[in-house]
Amino acid sequence: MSPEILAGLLFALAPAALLANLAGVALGIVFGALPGLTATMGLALLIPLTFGIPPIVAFSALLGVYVGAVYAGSITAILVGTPGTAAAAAALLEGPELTKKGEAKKALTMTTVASVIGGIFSCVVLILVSPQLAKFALTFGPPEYFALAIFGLSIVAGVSGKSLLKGVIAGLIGLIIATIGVDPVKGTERFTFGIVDLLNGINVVPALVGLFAISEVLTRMEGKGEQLRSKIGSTSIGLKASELKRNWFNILRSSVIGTFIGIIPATGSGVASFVAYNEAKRASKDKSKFGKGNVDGLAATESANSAVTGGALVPLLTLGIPGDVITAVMLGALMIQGLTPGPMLFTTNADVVYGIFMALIVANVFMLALGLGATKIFPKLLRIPEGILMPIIVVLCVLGSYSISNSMFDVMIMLIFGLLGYLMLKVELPLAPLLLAMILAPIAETNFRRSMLLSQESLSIFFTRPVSMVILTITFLVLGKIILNELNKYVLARKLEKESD
Amino acid sequence: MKTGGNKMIKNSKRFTVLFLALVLVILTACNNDASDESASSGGADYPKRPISLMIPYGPGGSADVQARLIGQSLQTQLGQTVNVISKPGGAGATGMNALKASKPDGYTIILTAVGPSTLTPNANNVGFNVVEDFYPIAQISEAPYGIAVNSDSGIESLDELLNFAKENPGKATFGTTGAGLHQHVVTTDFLNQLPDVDMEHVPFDGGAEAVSALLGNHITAAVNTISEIIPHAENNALKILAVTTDERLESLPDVPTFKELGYELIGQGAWFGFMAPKDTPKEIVDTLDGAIKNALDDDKVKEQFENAGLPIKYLNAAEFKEKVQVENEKNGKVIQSLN
Repeated sequence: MSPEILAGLLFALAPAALLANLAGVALGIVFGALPGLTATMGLALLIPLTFGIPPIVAFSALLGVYVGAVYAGSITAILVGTPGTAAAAAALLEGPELTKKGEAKKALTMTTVASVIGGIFSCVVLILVSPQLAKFALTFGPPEYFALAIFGLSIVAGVSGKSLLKGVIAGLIGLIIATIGVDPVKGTERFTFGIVDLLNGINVVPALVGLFAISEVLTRMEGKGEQLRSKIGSTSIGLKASELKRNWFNILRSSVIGTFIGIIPATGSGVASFVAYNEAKRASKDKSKFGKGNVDGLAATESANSAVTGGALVPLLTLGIPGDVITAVMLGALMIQGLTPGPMLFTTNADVVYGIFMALIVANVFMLALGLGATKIFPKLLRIPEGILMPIIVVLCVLGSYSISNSMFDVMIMLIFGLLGYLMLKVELPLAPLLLAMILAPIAETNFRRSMLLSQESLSIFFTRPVSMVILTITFLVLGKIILNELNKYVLARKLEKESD
Repeated sequence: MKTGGNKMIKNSKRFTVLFLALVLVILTACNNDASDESASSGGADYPKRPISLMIPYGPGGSADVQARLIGQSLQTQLGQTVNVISKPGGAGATGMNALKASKPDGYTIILTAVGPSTLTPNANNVGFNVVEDFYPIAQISEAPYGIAVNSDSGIESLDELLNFAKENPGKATFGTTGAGLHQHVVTTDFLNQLPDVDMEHVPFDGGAEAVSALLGNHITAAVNTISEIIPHAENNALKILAVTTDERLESLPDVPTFKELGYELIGQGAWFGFMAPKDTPKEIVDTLDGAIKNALDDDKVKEQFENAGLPIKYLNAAEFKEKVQVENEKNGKVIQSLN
């Protein structure tokens, strides 16, 4: 190990860097947990403070916020059904049900442990093989992104709940919503009705907050939602060692998925956790347990979304290519420090690069400590009477939606989606497929059209490129199996009907 | 009953006191407003309260960084807090409309860019016209563009790229940051001058995506801000064929300009500048313009801009106004041809 690398590692462990890291993680947890406050906002607030500070101290704080926020988005999702960030949406698939069963503490402990394992796994990958992986990420062109997005859409089947048909309907609603805004290739307006604020489309975060949080509050106002308050047992049932042990492979697989999706620019942690959840469900012997408060599902989603953190730093540090808004903000911070990310960074500033690696690992350790402490405190939130807790949630939703773009328009979007979510729950349409479609549709659409531009309008481009062909073939096989299963179910139901006649 | 009556009297007394207090507060507030008004019309003691500096982009991007760097300096020079407020959305129109609707008193200004001011209003009906509705204060930076190819392509010059496009119609593609954005508009105008060159435009979502598509050999060329492609050129992964500035860049002495190769462009780069609402008093605009110029002369600010890959290019209020007018007209024409 060269002295430079050693210096970098040691510098990340210096008191100032550790303190900055701890403060960053704590701030990140707050920003992540509160609906509407995002990791990007936390970072943007911190960046002016980092101007005069040594790079590794600055990055300890920034990485702390990043790691903390990605992790903490799930806390409020699990406890009160309100995801703090888009990345935490998949935690809704199992989290709230676990809370209703009185197992909030167990859920939060699993979230923390799985997040830390996912986070550290991705750091190790980042440290060991980032240059090789970065080259692989570059092989992803428009056709490959399109194939990946289509594969992602096939997950709708896995998160549809009881009825596939209703899941597909919800997914289609999501696809329609995603077409609102300026056309990504020709620049013409679609479904904007002359409203200037709709030019950039519907902002996903306010939509998500409304869809899940406001609809939940409305349902509870009817008095039909289960009283959370009666579940004081929430703090007593913890995570059993056996539950962690049986999930070791699940967490490992989800960490691989998260890291992989993190490396590919412009896909994001929301997608990663849905894919990991779907794979966990598919691999499970008892699929019927999923969607009803299964800690295994949570292990998958949480390790995957935290594994994205290390993965997303691969293209950022090795190629200087930010994969999402958060890493784009970090790129700006690096450049202000006079560091230009890219292949040269590893040779010219090896101390900083390894300092960043170490800081990321330290952030995960702090997350474990703060997170486990939080599992004792957060479930106490549930002791607040619902009549007080629900209005607080609504206020937070309004504040959060406003603060994303300082815009009342986003508050309106949030409320409209709240109503939409409520109506969907009334007719038993699942919410997750709609969100999944809203996230994936723009990726699928723009990359399909880019591919068409590249191939002079020939569909063969998707099948003459190996990566895209493999992904699409898998997707078709998966879809075939889903359709076959549905047919079998239908035939079986008809048979039973006849027999009962 | 009696106690109830007493209570009511007491309550009504309390209300009267409260009401009077409220009236007083409102009156003082109005008075403050009034004095502000008189002050702002002359602009002599400007600024006497915090200034809101809007950006038509989300937090964390390059507009945010520039607003904060200049904002800090304005704060020390003018002795008032400068709050950076992010108003993204509507392809930049949300922020511009918010400025149009605010008082022309110098307490609300915007750090805007070429897109929100001269592209969005020409492409969509967004309710403002940059020339008629705003008072340009100063341009602060302009990041030049470069056209680059993958080093594996074997293409060594702009002419070779154009010949490749001529010989392989429909096969040559160029990527940009997005449909209808400045890189797209400038390159489209350039290609319109060359009717026999057939290059297909592939819009990406931001410059980083276009660069990674070029690095992965998915497109033939890309037009990006220089700071996005320079690291890859230094690493010999990409080859920069030409830059959009009038003169060669210090950092790229061997790369020719479009101009010296014989091509006129309608834009030289992604510029950022401050604007105020149309009727802001000239004295106030001059005060701000002077303070912005001072900020850009500060060595610390210079260094931070340089590190962030943002070339400072100051234009005063009059020069900036002229530039906005000219580019707005030219860009409008190209955008019409696109639709």
